[in-house]
Amino acid sequence: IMNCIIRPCTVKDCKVILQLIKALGQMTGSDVCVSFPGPALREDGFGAQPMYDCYVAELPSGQNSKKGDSIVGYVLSTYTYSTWKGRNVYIDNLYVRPEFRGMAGQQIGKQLMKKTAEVALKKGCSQIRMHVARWKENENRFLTCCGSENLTAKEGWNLFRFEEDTLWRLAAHN
Amino acid sequence: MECVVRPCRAEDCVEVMRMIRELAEFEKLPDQVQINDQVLREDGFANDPFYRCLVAEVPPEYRSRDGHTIVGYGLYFFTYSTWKGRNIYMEDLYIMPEFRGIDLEENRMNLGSPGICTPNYAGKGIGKKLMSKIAEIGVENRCIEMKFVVLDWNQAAIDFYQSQGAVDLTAAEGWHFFHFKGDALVRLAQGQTGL
Repeated sequence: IMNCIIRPCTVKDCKVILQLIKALGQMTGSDVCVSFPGPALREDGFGAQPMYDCYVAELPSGQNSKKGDSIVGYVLSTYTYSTWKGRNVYIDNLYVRPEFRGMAGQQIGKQLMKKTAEVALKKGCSQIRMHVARWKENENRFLTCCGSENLTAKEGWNLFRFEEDTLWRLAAHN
Repeated sequence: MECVVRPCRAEDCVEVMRMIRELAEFEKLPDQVQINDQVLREDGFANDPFYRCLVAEVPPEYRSRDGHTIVGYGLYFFTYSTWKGRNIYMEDLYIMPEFRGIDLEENRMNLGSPGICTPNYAGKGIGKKLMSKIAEIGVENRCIEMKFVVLDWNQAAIDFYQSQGAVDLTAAEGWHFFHFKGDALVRLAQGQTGL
């Protein structure tokens, strides 16, 4: 088992997280995250009104990844609400560096999820929710193994989205 | 008919809770409602609210058959993405059935079948007004997208949302909605999962 430290993200960690996002974007061929401005991650997480919670997985001191830094994964979440069950946590992003996945890596992902669950329960939350693409088999298997239920499969909940231009049109109705 | 869309006040929680139960009944999942108006009030009106809510209110002369003037609500909150920044998430949008199918511009009531949003009048009623206000709040807060979930058999809702430009990401891209609750959440917190 990888003896990672799971700790709250600090302002200094934002730079590394941004590098991880960019690397993921380049790997998947998406240019959305490459254009994401760096400062917003810092301002949004550490300004007057933090917009998210973030925990990082860090290698013990003395160990570094191939790239020379020690952060190997992160989980970013927000507090949300269910009109049926009350306080929730919504996991927006969970990421572990590919070279740290697999048997040892599953423990890092699990440790990040465990931390999120501990914090959720302490805050009086009764659910953790997230969305995952069906074709991401490893992620689906990981979540199911951790004990989650697929509500799309079970109850028929479909995810809908208004993207930027349709959102503006909808807002302009007023 | 006038309809005012305004922020929910603490004293509106009793009415919003009534409509939450009506919506759960319609979604064929009434046993899943576990909170009450007191919890709703505590969680929405403390220092660090977990949600925000808008209500749709009509003047007393247009009150519902049962005497209610608060006839709809939209409950939302903000989430975050390391890819896109702040997002707005619409948790619930509900209009009492007798107030659907209304054309607010032409001031006509109950066009077509009650509870059905007829194509000619889609986007002119209270549901559109509520949802547009949430979108406006999203845009004001620099959100670049709004997300929500809909039951796959709720064709009237699907038709309404798609008529306004929403995309079904489950159908289009295979996104699925997962949750941890109850014992599964406790086991996760204790590190006692199957891995």
